[in-house]
Amino acid sequence: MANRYWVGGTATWDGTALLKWSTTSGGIGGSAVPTTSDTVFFDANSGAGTVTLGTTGACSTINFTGFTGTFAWGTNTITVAGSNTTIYTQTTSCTFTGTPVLNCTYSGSTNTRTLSCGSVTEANSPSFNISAGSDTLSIAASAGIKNLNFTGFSGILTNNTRTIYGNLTLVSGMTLNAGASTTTFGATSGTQTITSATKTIDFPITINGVGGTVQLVDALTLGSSRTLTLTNGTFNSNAKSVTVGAFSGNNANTKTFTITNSTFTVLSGTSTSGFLLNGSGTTYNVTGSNVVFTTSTAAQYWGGGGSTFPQITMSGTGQLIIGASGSTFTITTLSNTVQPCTVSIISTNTQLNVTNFNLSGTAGNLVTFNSSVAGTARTISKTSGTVNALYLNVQDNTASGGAKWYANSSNDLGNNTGWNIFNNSFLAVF
Amino acid sequence: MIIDFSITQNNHTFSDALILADDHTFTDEEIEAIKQARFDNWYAIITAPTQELAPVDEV
Repeated sequence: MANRYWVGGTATWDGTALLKWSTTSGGIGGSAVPTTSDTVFFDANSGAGTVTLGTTGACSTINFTGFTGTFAWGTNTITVAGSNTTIYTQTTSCTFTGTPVLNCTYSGSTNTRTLSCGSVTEANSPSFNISAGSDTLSIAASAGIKNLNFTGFSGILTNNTRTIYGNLTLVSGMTLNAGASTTTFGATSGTQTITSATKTIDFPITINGVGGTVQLVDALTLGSSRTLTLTNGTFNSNAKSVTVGAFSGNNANTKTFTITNSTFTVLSGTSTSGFLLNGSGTTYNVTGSNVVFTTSTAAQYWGGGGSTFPQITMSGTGQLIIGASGSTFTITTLSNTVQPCTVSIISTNTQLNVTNFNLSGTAGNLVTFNSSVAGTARTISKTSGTVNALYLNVQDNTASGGAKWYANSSNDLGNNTGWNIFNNSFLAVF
Repeated sequence: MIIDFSITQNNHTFSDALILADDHTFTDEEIEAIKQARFDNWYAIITAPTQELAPVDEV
């Protein structure tokens, strides 16, 4: 292994050595073109000119620290064959043009390869193909990366903060370390994709690219304690299932939430977290979709004033607390698949409109439908038809609209208006 | 080759996609088994006991 420092100024990295490469920083040129055995440096003594990648470059490791020039990738790539060290280093001082792609080809199983990309801009972020190896790959904190593709990799990816401006492609044979550090998708244009390949992503994901879209290729599953956050941009489930610990989209930013024909499962939550999507800049594209809560403790659904959600389903034995900002919100179908459970309306001055009220318990396993504040009634409205619910505990609820509201084999726990509650097995049919 | 699929069981619908090489050698039965395995793994996750939610990083 030898060092290769670029001393060629404005020139092309190709198969001809000339005086472009030196064994020392700022040294005398004339060394051979680097191979996959060599450590390549573009540093402060490499000048501020433009280095054009005119061929497929090769190195063991490559380091752009201190380089103030422009590296013009064009459509060429660099093969990085090193292992057991920092194989890629980039700082914010240099400028990239073209399409930077590095193919990391180490195929062994020992130690750790590190990518140290720095907090580079979207324009300067490189793509990595981790095409082999069963070692550990560490990406230094706050890295900016374009595409990150693990096709061919069977090792471990450690958890750290990073921003991806392109696609994330996982493979089923790799291991994702769990952690609390967030991976942010930050592209400001075009569509980024996430391919999960059955992997449970046990770290938080944030979508925060003004003007960008993050779209799933296959089902997305986060760890049960991890949050998917939509800060800016568009999230598109692409009709695939989404499973998260919690979802957070409660902000005033411009964002679009598209989960057409998807099941969106919320595994955890608290009385103030679960599925929160609200804010003046929010666009709802939720046709045909169902948000399912599986909590056995408590979780919250919080929507925007005037928003409409096709279906909310309680599939856990805990408490689902639902509400929204503004004067009204609509859940087309409110249902449960598990008994007993509790569904509570939280909003102080907000009316919940439903088309289908499908909450029902079973004998001995009643569903409690109430207000999140005991003694303070909340309002539910249905414009027409008849609700024939079974096995409910109804409390602190005002049923309104043109519909007739019946709860049979149910208990009136007080402070209810508009309900016809029968504590027997009689099924009212009107 | 991308094969989109959905499986519904016990009121839970799972929608996913298999990404296979164009020249893959899986039989139809093997592909169906992969789909079912994916559903089974997902179903185990959504029916597992609830865990406490970790604090969320500020954004």
